[in-house]
Amino acid sequence: MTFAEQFPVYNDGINLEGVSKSYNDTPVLHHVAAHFPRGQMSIVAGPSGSGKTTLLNIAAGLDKADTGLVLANGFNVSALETERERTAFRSNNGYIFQNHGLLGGLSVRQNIYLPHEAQEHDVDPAWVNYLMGRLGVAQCVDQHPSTLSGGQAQRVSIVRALAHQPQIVYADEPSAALDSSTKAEVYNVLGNLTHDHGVTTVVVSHDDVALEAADKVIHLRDGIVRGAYYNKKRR
Amino acid sequence: MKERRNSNSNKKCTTAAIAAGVSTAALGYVGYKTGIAPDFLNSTIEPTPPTLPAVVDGMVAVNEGIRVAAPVAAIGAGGLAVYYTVAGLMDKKARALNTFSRADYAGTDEAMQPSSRLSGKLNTLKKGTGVAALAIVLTSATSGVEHEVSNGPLRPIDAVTDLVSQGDSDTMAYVLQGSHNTFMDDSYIEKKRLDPVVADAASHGIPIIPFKKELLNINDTSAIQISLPDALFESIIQTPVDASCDTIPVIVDETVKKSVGDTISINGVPAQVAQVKEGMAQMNRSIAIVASSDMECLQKGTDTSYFGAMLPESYKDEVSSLLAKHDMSELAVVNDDFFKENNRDFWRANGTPILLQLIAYIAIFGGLAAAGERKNALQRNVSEIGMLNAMGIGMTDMRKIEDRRALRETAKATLVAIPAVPLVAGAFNAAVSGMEIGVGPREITVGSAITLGAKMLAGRRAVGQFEKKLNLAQAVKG
Repeated sequence: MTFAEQFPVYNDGINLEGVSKSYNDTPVLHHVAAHFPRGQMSIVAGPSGSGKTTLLNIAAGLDKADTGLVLANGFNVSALETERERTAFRSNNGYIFQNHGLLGGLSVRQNIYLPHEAQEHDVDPAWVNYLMGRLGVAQCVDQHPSTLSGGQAQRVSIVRALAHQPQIVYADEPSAALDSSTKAEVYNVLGNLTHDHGVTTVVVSHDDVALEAADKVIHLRDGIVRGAYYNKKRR
Repeated sequence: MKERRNSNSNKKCTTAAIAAGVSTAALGYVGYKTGIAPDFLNSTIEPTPPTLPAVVDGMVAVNEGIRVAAPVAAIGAGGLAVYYTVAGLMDKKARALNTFSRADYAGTDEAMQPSSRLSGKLNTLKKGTGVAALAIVLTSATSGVEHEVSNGPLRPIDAVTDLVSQGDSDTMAYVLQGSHNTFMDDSYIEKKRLDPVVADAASHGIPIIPFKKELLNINDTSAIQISLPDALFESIIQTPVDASCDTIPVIVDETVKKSVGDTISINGVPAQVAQVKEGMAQMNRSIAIVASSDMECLQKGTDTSYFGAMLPESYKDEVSSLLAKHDMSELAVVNDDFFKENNRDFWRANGTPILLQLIAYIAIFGGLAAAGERKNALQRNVSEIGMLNAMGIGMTDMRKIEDRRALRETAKATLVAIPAVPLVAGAFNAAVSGMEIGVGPREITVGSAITLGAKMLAGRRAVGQFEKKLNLAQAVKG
């Protein structure tokens, strides 16, 4: 039996089974089981310290669970050992974090395109221009990050994350530095990408705008999944 | 905060190098006083038959090997730079890596307003290129100094034999008290025993030229004084020599800075410059030549021995037979190559240990500075590099970026160092009479090749250390 046959939901979004994680003997996640469907935007919500970011990092392959299984996009994320395996998994994904992480020595255009060129991604300039227009940063394309506001820099980092039309998008509080109307636009863009292109989107947020835009919400508290529901307004 | 980290790293490197130098000098002094230190730590010059510690021999061989390999390495590095540039024109991944290597990650928390971007660029230049340029200047100069110290002493030997042979292409052989006697130590052959051999040789048409050697002062500066037979000396200066000691004609080296007709003082005795020659000087020693009869004026008749005798190498066997005939077969007859090798080994044994320490300190400084600078650059930008890693740019690509950066910065540093290296060498040459440190492309390629190697290793090592310590989840959190 092949891996895909053994795990029939292997290619259907992201699956976590029995994932636990501790830091310095302090438990952060307890036997978490969660499914983030493909083609849907899932929000992981919960109070501060509930383990949301840890869950996201493990699902994204940025951290390793102590126990459990993580399957995503044809990869057994919990078993990625070599750099080659890790970069192969990560290069198909988009990452949006609170810290935009733009390189100050490069222009906005270079910050968006260069990481993808380095991985030989095909980036459609028309798609990038569309994203920049939707997120209101089209006029910044030749500026350096040091001249942008925090909100503008964050929006540029979102464009960077989505430029190559990834198969999975991981986002940790992507709208924390943004005003309400821009937040709505960000989730609109994420939603369009998710639904139109079959992307699996996982967002950590406790923002009402995010919850409003979500297809599925998973509540986490004290490292345990307390509930999961589909947004009826989206269905 | 981040600026202070790199500045601290450079201070630590300099402190480490100075501490190493002071402690080694202290060890050497203690060892010398107690007599328990290894020979190579003792930098006092002792004119004993040259015995080279294996490490010194190895060090010289390494320097000479690097001097041969460095131009090849420089051509290779140039080819690599061209390859990266062409690849960047044809392949987007290569172009991206080239561009990343120019930016040096620089996160936005080192925010630069447009008006201060120049100062930011100057800061970056100082960190990456400045340290490298300093390393190139010091390494190039050191390679040139070592080469001069090892080979410079052969220069005056060639100058004197050229003068004596007067254009004859035959190489010389030397009659000496012992086969390992060098120009810097003593060799005594009694005048009354060698003169009959010389007369016997002359009767058979064998040109053998006995000479004396003394360490005297020319205008209060030490010089090696050599005497040649009166007839030979007269044929060189084209002027008869009298034995009155009133006017002593002398051939001097250009480092004495006198012109023909000038009067100089040799151990307080007035002498007149008859000719000025080039190449009759080595580090701290020039050679002056007088007639044999005038040497006795300078020695005031206290010495009745020759240092040795020169002869064309083709007569070596015949002279050996003559020596045996005159019951002087205990003397050595050595050829030019063997004599020069002993002289070279003498200076290597005495001078090179000092350079060994100097080279080691420079290597410590350069290596630590390069390693520290790259480690700090990566640590300063953990968040940005973590983001790139999270996006799928792995450490393999990071190493390629570091290689490109090392190449670019070394190329820039070489351009900065090119005008500086001759200045440093010129300062050495001006400070030490007779020194002729070479400052050509070879020395600069030595400095560049060593610096490029150090930077590439440092960059790759920094990436390796970064990879081990990287907590990606923490890094992207910022």
